[in-house]
Amino acid sequence: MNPTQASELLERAAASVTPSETDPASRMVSLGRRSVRRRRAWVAAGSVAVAVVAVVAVPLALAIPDRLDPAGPSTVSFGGLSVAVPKGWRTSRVTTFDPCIAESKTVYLAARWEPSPPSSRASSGPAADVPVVCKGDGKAWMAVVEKGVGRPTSSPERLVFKDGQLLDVEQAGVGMVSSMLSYRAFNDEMEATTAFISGDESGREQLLKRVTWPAGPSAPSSGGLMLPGKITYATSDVPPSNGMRFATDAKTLKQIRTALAELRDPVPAGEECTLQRPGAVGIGFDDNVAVMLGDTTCPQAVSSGGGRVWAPAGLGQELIDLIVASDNAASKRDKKD
Amino acid sequence: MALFRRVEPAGYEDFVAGRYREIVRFGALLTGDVRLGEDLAQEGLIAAFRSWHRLGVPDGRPEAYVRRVMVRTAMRARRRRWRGEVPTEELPDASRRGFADQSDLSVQVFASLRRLPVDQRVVLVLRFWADASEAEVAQTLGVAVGTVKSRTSRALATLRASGLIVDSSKETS
Repeated sequence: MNPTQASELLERAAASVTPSETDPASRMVSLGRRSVRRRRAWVAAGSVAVAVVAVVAVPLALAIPDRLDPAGPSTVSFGGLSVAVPKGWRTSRVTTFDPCIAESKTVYLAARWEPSPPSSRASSGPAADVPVVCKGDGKAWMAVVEKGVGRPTSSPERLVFKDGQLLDVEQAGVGMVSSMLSYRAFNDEMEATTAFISGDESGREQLLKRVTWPAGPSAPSSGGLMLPGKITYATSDVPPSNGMRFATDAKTLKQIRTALAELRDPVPAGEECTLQRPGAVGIGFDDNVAVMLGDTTCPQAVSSGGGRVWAPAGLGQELIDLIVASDNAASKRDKKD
Repeated sequence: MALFRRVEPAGYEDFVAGRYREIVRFGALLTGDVRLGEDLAQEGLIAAFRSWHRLGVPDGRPEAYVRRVMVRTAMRARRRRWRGEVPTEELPDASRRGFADQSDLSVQVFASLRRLPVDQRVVLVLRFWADASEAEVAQTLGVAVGTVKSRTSRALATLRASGLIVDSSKETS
């Protein structure tokens, strides 16, 4: 990649844009007023509806934006996950969860999450170097968010096995809430339910034990790893730059597929280990299927589509080497053309 | 004297007058289209008008708010197709599409942007035009840093394939 080139191209394209609106200030005030009037009309209509509901005394449960339960139920279920709330903790249901302002000993249940933007950063141009302080950082809390972090990369940093489910573990609050890790199913769902857990390492582990996930995809009935029916590419983030490399030639893809298809020795329940980079490598394929292979510390391979098998410790690196060689060859061909 | 005076949101007009062009440019890159970009900019600015009581104060950061609204709207368009528009391989007619003063290169860049899936396009624009770090883009979009990396790589690969950028290192720092 050449970031400078990309920046220059975008800058040049942007510089060529001339808005069609000649008096945007007046136009926007006019559109803004109209929008406010429309919104007020809706609110008024809503008020009438609420009044009608109140009169007929229908026990309609309206959404309560910030519900706090100081006593805290022992177990809460949300977004398909179940959380055993620690004693003395409270639960809080919020529309949007902000880890930056999370409070200690609280289990948040939220539809989505949105970290406070770094207040020091300018909206454009160079960012100021003022550190951002989040009061939620370093404290013990947990949040279950329905629309959590996005689909994991094909080469996740860390995959842990829990409740029959592969969990992608990330530091989603990098630079703001360093004590927080996110845990979501290692699948191709765009916005899966995610548990955000903050605390020190042992505290996070204890809290993670209190969260129960639904079981993940089971292994293919034929055994081995679930792979896409047709593979047209294989890709991986390759150190040290973690640049994404692709293999698209039929010969390499066949070699990779054959090597993975030959892994047939299933890992018995209870013997699953944590696949972690560096060491473990991930390879992405068509249909958002990813396979992760471990090194000597965890010589296993898993597929996001199902299946966990024993794998030779060096196999992951061998497959990465194949991808890199294929990618390099393709680049050379491109340059010749 | 009028009994009821229309209260103008103080500072809003100045903000729009001063930043409109830049915000439209951001919208044009997010959508890959000048006209749609202006529509997107106006959506963001209307949202800012409604919230001006808290944005029009010192440190209210209205432009950041507008941009956030624009990014979300652009991302939502992935699911509902932006106002029924469909990305096209065909280059627009310059005289009728507001590209009159655009160079050939700019037209090619916009055409390439339109070919990108919106999630890749948004990441590309935030990373390389708005100068956001991978972590900041991840926070803005609510996705993992790894997702930002992969979307960036794919977007750049597409630009590379179109011949717009020449790749020598394949790094994604």
